[in-house]
Amino acid sequence: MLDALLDGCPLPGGDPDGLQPVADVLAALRAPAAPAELAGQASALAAFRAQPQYSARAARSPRSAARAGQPGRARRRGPLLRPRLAMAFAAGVAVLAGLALGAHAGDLPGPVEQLAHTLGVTASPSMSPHRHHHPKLTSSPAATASHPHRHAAATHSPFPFSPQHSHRPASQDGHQHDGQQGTGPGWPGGPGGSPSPSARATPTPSTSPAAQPSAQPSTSPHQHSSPSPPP
Amino acid sequence: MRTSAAGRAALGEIFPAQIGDPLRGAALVRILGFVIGETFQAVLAAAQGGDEGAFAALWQDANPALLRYLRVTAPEVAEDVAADSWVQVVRGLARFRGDESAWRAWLFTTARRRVIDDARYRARRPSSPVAEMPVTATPLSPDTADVALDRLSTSAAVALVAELPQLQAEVILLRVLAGLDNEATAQLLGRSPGAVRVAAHRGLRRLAQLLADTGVTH
Repeated sequence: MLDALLDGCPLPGGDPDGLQPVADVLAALRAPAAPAELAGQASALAAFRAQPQYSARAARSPRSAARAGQPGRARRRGPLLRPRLAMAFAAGVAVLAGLALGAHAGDLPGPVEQLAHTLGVTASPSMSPHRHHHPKLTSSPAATASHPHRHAAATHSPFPFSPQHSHRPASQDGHQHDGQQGTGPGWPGGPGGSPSPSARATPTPSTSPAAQPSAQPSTSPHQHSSPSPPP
Repeated sequence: MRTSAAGRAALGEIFPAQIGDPLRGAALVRILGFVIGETFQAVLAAAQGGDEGAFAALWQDANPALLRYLRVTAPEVAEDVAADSWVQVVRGLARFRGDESAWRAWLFTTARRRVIDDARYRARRPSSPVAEMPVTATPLSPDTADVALDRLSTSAAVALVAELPQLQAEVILLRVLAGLDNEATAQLLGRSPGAVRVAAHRGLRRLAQLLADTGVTH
């Protein structure tokens, strides 16, 4: 019977043990909430919203999250973009390698050779009318031997994409220079993009802004793939 | 247990339309206890998914019982401990798995640990100026008039239970307010089921004696 009382069950008829007052006490304990007992709901909801997992889910929508530029969202975008970047990079490498080989062999038609020269993929010093201005860009036997595909554009310049260097280094150089990889079709200055030096991104702030009107302030490959400026 | 008209009206205010009509229907089945009932899993899943309305339903269901428990076990800091307990529960909400009984056991276990931590903290700082004590610091004392009423007020009932020895009071509160069975209560308190059952029975009989002493008879 006492267990039944605790479980909220009614007492048997007659209440032989005189426990009805106790049953009333227990019933009063179970009474509906008083307004004062619900006054702390706002604080509890605030604590709920403060949790990152709940606030992220509540605010999640594909466009709003992208615009908000949440760090977590940006981080999650990174891995998703790597396959695309890798494909674009590989395509750019292939194109430049082909141009370099063609230029080396002297098999490129005139316009294509000019394009290759503009992109910085030249076959040999003798074939490039601009190289003498930039000795560092001259392919050296050592550079050629170690990196046969970038023999035409070997450079140690810290500013591979600055306008005074009209030669675009090979993709390997771009890769080595702090992730500057704008060599694919989607990259600024890439084969599919504008060939103008002014359109090339510069990875460092020391580049003259006048010469780089469309310079991207960040060298992160993830940033480059985003059409919107970084937050 | 029947649901009184006042109880139904109160529940109608507690569970607004934001949580949907199906939940309101389930909410009217009982008072306190397992108000959410059969839809608990759906409400829990929604809350774990970030649904504020679902979390509010969980909070509204359990917080009054939690406060009444804490007004006996930690009368000076009941509201603070309750708030801290909910913060902790929210942090672990996404990882919780269990039915409604397990949910309430978890909530009350969390609150009980907070009470213990608070007691240890206060024990290290024994001097507390009386002027700084909140108004609610004084334990409730049962008013004979309230006790004599046909419908005993909740505060009077809480005050009566607070007169019991600590273990007896806690067992009764966990069985009644948290809706835990004997085994779950024993596990929460770290006692054997037999000891918990004995404490519960002794507590009920002591309540009957207290009521008789105040002249309350049926």
